[in-house]
Amino acid sequence: MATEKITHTICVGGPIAIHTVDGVIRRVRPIVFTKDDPKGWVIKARGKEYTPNRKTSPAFIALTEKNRAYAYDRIRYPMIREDFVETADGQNRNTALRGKSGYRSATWDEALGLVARETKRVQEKYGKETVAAVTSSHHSWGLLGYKLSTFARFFRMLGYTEVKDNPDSWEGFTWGAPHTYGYYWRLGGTEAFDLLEDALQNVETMIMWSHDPDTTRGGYAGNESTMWRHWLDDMGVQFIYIDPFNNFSSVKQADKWFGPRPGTDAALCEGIAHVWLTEGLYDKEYIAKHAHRFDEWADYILGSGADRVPKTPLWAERETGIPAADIKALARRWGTTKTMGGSGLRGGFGGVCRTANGTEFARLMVQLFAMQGMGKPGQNIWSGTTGAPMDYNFWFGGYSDPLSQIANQPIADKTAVNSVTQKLYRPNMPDAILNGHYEWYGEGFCGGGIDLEFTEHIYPEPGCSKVHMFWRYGGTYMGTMLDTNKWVRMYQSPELEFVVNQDIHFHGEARFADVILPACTNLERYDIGELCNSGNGGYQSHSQTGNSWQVVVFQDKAIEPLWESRSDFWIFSQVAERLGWGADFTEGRDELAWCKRFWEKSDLCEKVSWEDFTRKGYYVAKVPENWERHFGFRWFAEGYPCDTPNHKPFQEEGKLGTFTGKFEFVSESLLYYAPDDEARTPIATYKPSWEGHHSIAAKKYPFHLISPHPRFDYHTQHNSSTPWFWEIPENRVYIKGNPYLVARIHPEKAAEKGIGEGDVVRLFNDRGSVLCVARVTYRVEVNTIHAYGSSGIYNPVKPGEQSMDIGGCVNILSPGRLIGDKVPGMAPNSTLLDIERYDGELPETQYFEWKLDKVNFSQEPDTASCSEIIEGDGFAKLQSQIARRNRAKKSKRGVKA
Amino acid sequence: MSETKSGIMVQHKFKVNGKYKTPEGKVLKVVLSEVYNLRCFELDAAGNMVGGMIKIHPESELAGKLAAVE
Repeated sequence: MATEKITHTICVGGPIAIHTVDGVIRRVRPIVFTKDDPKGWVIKARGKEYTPNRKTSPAFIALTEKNRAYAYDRIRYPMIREDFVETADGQNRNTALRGKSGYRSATWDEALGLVARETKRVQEKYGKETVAAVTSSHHSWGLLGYKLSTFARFFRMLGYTEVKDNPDSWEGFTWGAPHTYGYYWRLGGTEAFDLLEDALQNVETMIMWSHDPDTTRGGYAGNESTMWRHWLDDMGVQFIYIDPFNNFSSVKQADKWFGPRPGTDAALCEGIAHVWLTEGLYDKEYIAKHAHRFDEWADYILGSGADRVPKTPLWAERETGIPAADIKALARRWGTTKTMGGSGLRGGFGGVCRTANGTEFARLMVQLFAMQGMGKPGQNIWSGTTGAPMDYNFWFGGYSDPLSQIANQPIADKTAVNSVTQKLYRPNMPDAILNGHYEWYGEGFCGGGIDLEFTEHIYPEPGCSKVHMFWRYGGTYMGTMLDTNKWVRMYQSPELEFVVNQDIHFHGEARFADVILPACTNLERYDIGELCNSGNGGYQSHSQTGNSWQVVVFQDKAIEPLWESRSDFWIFSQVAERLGWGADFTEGRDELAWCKRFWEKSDLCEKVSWEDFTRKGYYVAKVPENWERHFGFRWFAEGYPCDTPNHKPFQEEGKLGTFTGKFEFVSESLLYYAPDDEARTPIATYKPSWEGHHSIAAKKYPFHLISPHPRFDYHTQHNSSTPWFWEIPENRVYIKGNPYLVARIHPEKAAEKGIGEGDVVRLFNDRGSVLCVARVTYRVEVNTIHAYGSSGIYNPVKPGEQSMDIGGCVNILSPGRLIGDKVPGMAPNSTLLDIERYDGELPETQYFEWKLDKVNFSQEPDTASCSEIIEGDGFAKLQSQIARRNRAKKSKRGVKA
Repeated sequence: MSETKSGIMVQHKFKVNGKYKTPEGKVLKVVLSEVYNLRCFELDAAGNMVGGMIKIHPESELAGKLAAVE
């Protein structure tokens, strides 16, 4: 009789338990704690006690890992582009056919041999720096397999041009907020320590600005914080949502929804400030003590500044579309009640930061909270998704911790150091490759110092050669980076003589590679990790306070790698072996031995033995009953040295991380580093977008596109490979074999355009066009088209050409332009477009499925096709075949024994 | 040295990534400075981090005796 096995893992949607039978996943569920696990924290507030449920609360995307593991678009075998020719000089390789061509299967020996030969050839001919590599924003969770660990160890040992990430989820906060309140070491984000308790005890109003917490889930925290917001709701706290889309959290919870015209939120900030200044509704004592050059800014708001325009609610109404009376009411409510809030998933994120005016919004939002006494009880930047009690005395590394990466000591015996200093910058990598030259300011992630925002970079670096080989690892950028078609042009350029893609699923960019290396999911390999711990290494530390529970999981192998897929560690170690330094790469450790290193170099080894930890599968850290509180920002408000974790020496002197140590309403750091920056002026001001309703282009393209972080994806994970989600009408509509993304339009505009509910519509501008299905709803601001970004499905009708897309890759329409000349952030929510009903022919399938079917059937004639797997029968068939094969293997082993 | 409201010793006299010698002659590298603990690893003669993570409470006797290594 088949026995059921239960293992555990963490994915980007949270921790899960996986039930398998005969080596096949049967079901996935949250981890339910046992009586041996510690009690949860208890917060006493307003006469009640609040404690979390005794289980993990993963997002619904995590519960579909089964669908994603056996996905129709799994890359099952190493593959080589059919018309790729391994020429000795790297020329004449049919690079223009990348994206169009099919593939043939290859053995691992053939694929790895080719990759190793090409790596050697390119580096010997042009120099080490001519190989570039980059990870996706997110691949698979786990300290061993995640992007800064195995990947970094391999490429630093190889020597390569690093492609620097931009903070694509919170651009405006990184490039703006530090100039008002410091916190560059948190990349512009605030500190939310213990603010859940503060909110439960004190807050009266929550401002949820560009924030859909049930969708963005605090980053990696799943639904751990959902209950907290229900508690606040139940005790009568008023929730005000500000978003051009009346989002999924808002429709459930909002007492009031405001829908500003996209990109005008900074004007709304200024209108609110005008009310407070004229009606005296701000904390004058706090401002007198803690603000720098406040009066000059107040003059600007009141109309005595250089532009002589008072930023009255009526003025703000003309920009935002929100009635002046509503702006006054909002300002008065905020100014007279204890109010917490913020934008996006950690208080300093949100689609509003990804606009041409994103830096100015971020600075103004911080200034508004400063005006109300930020740090006093019930007055803070806190958006209901972080700040739970945690045991600060327990340390386990997060993925951005240099201490928790196999690239570095102490996890490795020897730290891997990259010998190449040349860099590329992710959003503009295509420009650099296509033009052969690119210059930009800023490090991308500038946690090391505010000056890093202004470092100058040139590609190619003087004395270096241009990149000729590109190795892409993890999910695709076609749906997350902007002006998608420039990525197409880059991939088809002969400048890139060789392109490798290492991924789990056959996503957009994989289809442009010369060689594809199939990675397995983290359900098919060993790893170790802590829920929502993104680390302390220049990222936003203590993100685990977004959880109700602090849980470290032994990510056991639930099933064997499917088909010919292999772990990323195995793939890199095999290439390293062929390059002659395999033993140095592995240091003699297999994956399980590396996992154990994370246990023994952290506090975990003091709490639980390796044997007990791996047997049980997880460890829950206990929060002491009378834990010591370290309320975020309280130290600054009350004037004592900073006592919160992740502090800096100047905070211990009672100062913020700005030049003056105060909230800077006129930024001294901008006056020093970039006094002429037009996008980010010393006084933060609302500036009409370079692509917005005041632009000439608005006459041709009158709608704003907003493409927020998606509800049914995590970047490009899940939705694209999880057809279960395509049955949700708010997500996609499956027509003739293709899952069309839903685009939302206001009824008034839909009527003008002759568009009805469920019609196929074409979204278009000069950059391209995308077919979607119309959802006609009052939930969008009248000038706005809403379609979730980050689709992993890039599906042009003419693959490899800049043609119409039917996969919902709306970033085809977004501008590649950065926020400003010295502000290297993306602004996808500054996109103008038009929309029309589409009455043309629709295709019969997704355009890329045939490529996989051809390879898969060549290896396994009785397998299911992509469309059969999508529609269900094939999904069941696959699992039966795998179970049969596993039983046969087991029986064979039994006979031998 | 100043104190926080809660009485925890302020830690800014220890530099993250700084090296400090213990009275026994061990050289420790501070890798993290948190509310409760300095977190360190011992360095061997070649400068490699070895052994398990060492926690030192900033108010402890040992913390007071750590000497910065230039």
